[in-house]
Amino acid sequence: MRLNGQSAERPGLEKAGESVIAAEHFVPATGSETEWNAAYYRLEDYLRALRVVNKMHQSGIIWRCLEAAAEKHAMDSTQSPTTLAMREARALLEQWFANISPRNESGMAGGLMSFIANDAPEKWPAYFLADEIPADFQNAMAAGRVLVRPDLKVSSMVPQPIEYIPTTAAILPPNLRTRMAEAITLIGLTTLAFSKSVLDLFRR
Amino acid sequence: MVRQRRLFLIAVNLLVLCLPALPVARYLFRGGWSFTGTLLFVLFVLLIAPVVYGFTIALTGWCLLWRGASTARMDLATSVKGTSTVLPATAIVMPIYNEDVGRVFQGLRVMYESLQRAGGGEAFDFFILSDTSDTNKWIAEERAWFELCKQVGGFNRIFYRKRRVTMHNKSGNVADFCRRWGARYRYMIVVDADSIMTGGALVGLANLMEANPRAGIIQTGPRFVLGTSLFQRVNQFAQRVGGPAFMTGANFWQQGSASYWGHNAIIRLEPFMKHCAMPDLPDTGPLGRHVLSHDTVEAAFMRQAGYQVWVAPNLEGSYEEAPPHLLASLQRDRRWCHGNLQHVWFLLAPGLKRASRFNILMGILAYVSSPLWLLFLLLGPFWFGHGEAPRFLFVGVMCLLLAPKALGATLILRDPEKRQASGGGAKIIGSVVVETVFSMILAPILMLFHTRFVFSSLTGGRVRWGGQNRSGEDGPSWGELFAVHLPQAVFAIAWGGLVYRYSPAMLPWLLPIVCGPVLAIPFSRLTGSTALGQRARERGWFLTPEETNPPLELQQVETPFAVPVVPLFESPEYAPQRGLLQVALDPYINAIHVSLLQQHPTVNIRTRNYVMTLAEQLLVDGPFALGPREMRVLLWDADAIQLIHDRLWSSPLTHLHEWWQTAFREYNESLAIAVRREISVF
Repeated sequence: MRLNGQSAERPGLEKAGESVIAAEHFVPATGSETEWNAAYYRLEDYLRALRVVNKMHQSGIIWRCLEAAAEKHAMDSTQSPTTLAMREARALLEQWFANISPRNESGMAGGLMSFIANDAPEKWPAYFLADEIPADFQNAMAAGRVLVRPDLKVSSMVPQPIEYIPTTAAILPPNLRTRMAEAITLIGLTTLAFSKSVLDLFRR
Repeated sequence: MVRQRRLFLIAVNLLVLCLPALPVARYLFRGGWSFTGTLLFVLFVLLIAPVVYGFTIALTGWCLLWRGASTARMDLATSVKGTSTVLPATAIVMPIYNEDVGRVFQGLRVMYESLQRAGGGEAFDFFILSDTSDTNKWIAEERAWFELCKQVGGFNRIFYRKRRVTMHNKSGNVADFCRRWGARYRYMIVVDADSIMTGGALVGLANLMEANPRAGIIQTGPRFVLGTSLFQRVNQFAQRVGGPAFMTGANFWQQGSASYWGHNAIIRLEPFMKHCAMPDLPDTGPLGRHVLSHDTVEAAFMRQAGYQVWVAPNLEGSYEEAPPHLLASLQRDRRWCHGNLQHVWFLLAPGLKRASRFNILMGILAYVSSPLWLLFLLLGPFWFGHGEAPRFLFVGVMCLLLAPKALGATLILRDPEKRQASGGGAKIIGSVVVETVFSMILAPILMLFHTRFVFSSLTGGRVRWGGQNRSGEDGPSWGELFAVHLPQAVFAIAWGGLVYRYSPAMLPWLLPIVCGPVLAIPFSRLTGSTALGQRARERGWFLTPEETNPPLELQQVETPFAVPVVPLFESPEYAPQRGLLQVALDPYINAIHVSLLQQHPTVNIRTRNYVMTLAEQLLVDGPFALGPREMRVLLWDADAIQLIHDRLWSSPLTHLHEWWQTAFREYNESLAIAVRREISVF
């Protein structure tokens, strides 16, 4: 991989030059002009959504995708040019992330996360999908792998056995039943007497 | 030593209890023994005992603080033995549920940055443990997490975890963290969505744990801050006046048997995971199977396991926010009441320490005392009739209730720095007087509500686990206030009328209690007002040192948390589907969501087909064709979300539902406009 070499200093413009040539030569064998125009716009929208806003650089990528899509469309025209062009763009993106951050196991989603986490669209706008990227960009992508969560270290956390009401013979005194019966009788009598007293109070 | 302190406290309590109890007994039994008299006396002692307890711990705390108590006196070692200065691995966990996303992440940013300044960055990891059910807030949380990490350089230090099955509310949420990652850390600091802890406090807690290997939990005393409404400001002032003496006094006798309040505390993870998992309650009775208020029980289990539970009253830099208005406070009380009543099950459970049982009992009494007070106050006028008793009772109880406020105020007044920071002597005294009136109106309102809550819980009323209203901006409307308070106002008027009819001599003594519910509607409205809160602040009322001289962290937390947005996503037209729209359209938000989901590998083919059919339906029939549950199913499936995103971008628009066509066009147009605006400045 060439790293920040002389000819890659302004790769956007270099690609833009190529794109002019591509535009002149882009004569798809199948599909209507409207369909390819729609595909062009869709790619442009998608790149903008990826924060690739350099028009010249955008055009270069768009023509690359359109050319590849046109070849596919010539072989199978059941798919729309928009679908094929977007599929090319996604494939290109996936391949590019695999190349520039091979340690990223979470695929394109992980690549996109690292890309935006490093502010790459703003810091290295001209190198998006470039075959060669500068060393600092390469290093940032390698180091900036976003770990969405640490590795699991599974433990057990289960409730300890608990007796809410001490009912076992070991815990309770042997005469507890009698005591409980006494307590319930007492509470009952108390409630009755209290109710009577309250009634008396209001009768006074 | 601890035993002696406790015996001393019991003796003082009994002594103080005798002061109101003996004259009341003399009056009640003036004509000889009677059954109703005995019951009223028992009821009186039961009710006055917690008030006496509050008074004695405030008095103890006041004595200690007046003499200049330090943490060393509290028997909690403050320095690490040995020479190691390496902080242990500590997780800071924040369980959240439908919270204000901006506030949550700004709070986290403040804590993270403060921790970096305090030099504890390497040892601490942050975990946002989301149980949020609102899908729009869920996506907003993910975006905010990513933006926070990007802004503070916190990737691989700050983690976001959304729980798929939200079992057992907050305790289940924390337990889920413990099972997955607990073994990676020695300690866990639990913070609430509205907590703020300075880096110094976080590092301080870890150091305290290191210095006290028998400590299982150390609880800080979080101060109420950032209040804007009058309700919040009065509460934070009251806490600032009375809090230090209460906490110091409680700590004096509780020592290593304190309670845990659920947040702003550090926990030793190994014993916590081994002994503090929350069991289900027996499947009988109206209180439900799952423990709502887990903290007190966790503290009891930690004590049972042989570890100590401490309060660190002197640790500075621990804050939280008070509810913005009375209705929000009641909403929270409803949950706490049910949770505390559930603790009845643990009162008799074998193996718990006596001090833990006492803490549990005090928690239960905090709510059960309301229906008992109501009963006492309803019957009392007819029994006492006339004479000196009512006056004596009123004055005695008021003294016990008001003395802690007065004692707390003297601690502020004697310290020139604190006095100045709280608005000066005159303003402090004035604020204490007004706060006392505020409490006198509030107390009977709370008594009636708590009575209702207790009966509702005991008769099987359900408690919904809702997000807390922490914002002061959404004060309740008059309609809400009438609906909530009117029945109690009518009850209070009828009560007053009955007393006037049958026992008119008692009415003057009962008026302060009856007036509260009658005034509840305007009281609730006025105290919930942010404008009134601000006006009081400008005039120097209810000032706290955190308001006059706010620490950097509290200043920073008021700055809004900024997340760059595509204007379309803020449009009210798309508000109900904001979350879906973002993950479906925006490649980066989609990537963040998909990465965080991490597809479950064991999904069976039938489920897969069902989810993919839902995804197709969403695209062809639009989002209104799916219910909230189906929408959640889709948002939980990484493959489905990826498919929706791919299909949206690669299909000709005519293949999609009209809603998607419009949203897609508007999204791209809004992005194009934003780009053109940026470029046009050159």
